[in-house]
Amino acid sequence: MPAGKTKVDPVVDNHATYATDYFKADTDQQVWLDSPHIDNLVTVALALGGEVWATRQRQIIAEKLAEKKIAATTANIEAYRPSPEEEKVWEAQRQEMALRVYGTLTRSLKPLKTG
Amino acid sequence: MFKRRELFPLASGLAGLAVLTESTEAQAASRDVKLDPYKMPAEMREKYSTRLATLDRQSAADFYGSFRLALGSKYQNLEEEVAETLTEKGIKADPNCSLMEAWDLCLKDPRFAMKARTWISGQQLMWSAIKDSLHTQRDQILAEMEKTDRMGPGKLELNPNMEVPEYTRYEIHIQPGGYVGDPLAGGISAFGSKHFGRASANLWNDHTERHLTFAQQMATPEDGNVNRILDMGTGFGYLASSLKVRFPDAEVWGIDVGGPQVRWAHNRCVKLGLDVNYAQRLAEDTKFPDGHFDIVTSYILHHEVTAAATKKIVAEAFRILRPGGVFRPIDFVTVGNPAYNPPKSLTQKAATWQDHRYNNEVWTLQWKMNSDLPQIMRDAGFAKVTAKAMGGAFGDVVAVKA
Ligand SMILES: C[S@@+](CC[C@H](N)C(=O)[O-])C[C@H]1O[C@@H](n2cnc3c(N)ncnc32)[C@H](O)[C@@H]1O
Repeated sequence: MPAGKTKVDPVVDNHATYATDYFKADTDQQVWLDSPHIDNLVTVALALGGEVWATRQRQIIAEKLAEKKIAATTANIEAYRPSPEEEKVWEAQRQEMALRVYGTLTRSLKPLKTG
Repeated sequence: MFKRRELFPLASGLAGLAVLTESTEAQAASRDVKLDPYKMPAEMREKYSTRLATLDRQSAADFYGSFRLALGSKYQNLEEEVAETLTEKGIKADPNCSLMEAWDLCLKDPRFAMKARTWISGQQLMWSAIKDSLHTQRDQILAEMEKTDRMGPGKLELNPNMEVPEYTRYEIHIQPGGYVGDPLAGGISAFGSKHFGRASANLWNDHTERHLTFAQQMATPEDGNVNRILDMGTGFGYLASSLKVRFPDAEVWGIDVGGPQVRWAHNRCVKLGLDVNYAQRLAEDTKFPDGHFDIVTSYILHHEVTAAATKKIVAEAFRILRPGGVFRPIDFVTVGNPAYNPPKSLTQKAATWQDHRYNNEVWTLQWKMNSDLPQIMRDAGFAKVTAKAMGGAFGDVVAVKA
């Protein structure tokens, strides 16, 4: 149960926020594996996947731009809009990468039951 | 540092939409525009796309969603493995144990524990990616909202001195700051709706497909008259705006307890040129007159309010609907719906506890297990109530006022 409310400033950057005090969750305090370090490392490992994909995503877009003889400047990369087909391909690529890198986390730890 | 992309790539109004879609003129006053959200014309698709302003954080958030989809189906035989682990440890599980006891038991199995850990870690990382992206632009976004607060076509009503009920102040599904505590809460939940909602293909929302679909499927009064519509707990306003797309002549309102929510919703509709009204008001005290609306709806509001609030909200919906008006709150299936299927196995119970306790769905058990929605509707005076499954874990419950 939350101890008390987290205070919220009614003004930030000189703008009214229209936000108000709230109760913080305690999920970030939880440990479910054998040591808090392992819990933390799982989050770290997953965060790295996000960073690797973010880099790969820029690379994919840069290559697309190059094919069209467009300079892979930051502005052009940021402005790139995928087609519906490309969105599907990227989704599949991310899922493939997730399975390749993290699939082992789902492995069964019991001997296979046959018959 | 990456150069920022255009903050709101929604550009001008929805000019041309009526040309792009079929329109049935059932009544002069209630045009009903049909459209297939999965076959949107490119221009509309771009305007309705939900994309973070920094490609970098957008890609990271995409990855956490895809991770969840990819690994989620790889836990075959988990129930059996948990049982085996407990037997090995000499623990006898009571099949009637509580959700919390089931969670404690399941955590003893390393595969279950890792599944829970990765799900929650993914959720935390997704929210950070979204929040970080938006907050790098906080000053810019707040300045922009200050301007659009006063612009049309739709109205915006903010009530900063309103009494905000305590039960709405939680970080539900661990969204940082919750719905009321972050000045950019509307944006954070809008992007959460895309990424967190990526639980299955029918919940896709990359281009608002989900809300546009709900609007297309919305139940209407038998007489076909749809002049006023209310979306309760509208959040970032997608259902209200999607209803305006379907019923361009109707007066559409979205209300939410969160000021930052309705500001975001309004800002987006100003950009889209959609005449939708948003107000910071409570679903249990909407301030609208009796018999005012033809349709009252909501999307995933009720499982995030207390059981007591649900009863008040249903009574309020009854009050503000006109005779023949339709009430359709879309949410998870509850007890009292023939489609209700309570968690039975140990891992189902544990997952339900994980969602409630650690994904911080504070009120969801009160909703699913204790709020007999069809009965609550009948008690409130609704004449005709139908309840069935809607697909996914949602219930399709429609009530008509006599
Ligand atoms: C899960 S969100 C759903 C948002 C939106 N309907 C959507 O399409 O996803 C629940 C919303 O209900 C709002 N809410 C909770 N209690 C409320 C109340 N009593 N009155 C009005 N809004 C409320 C929250 O602020 C939040 O925006």
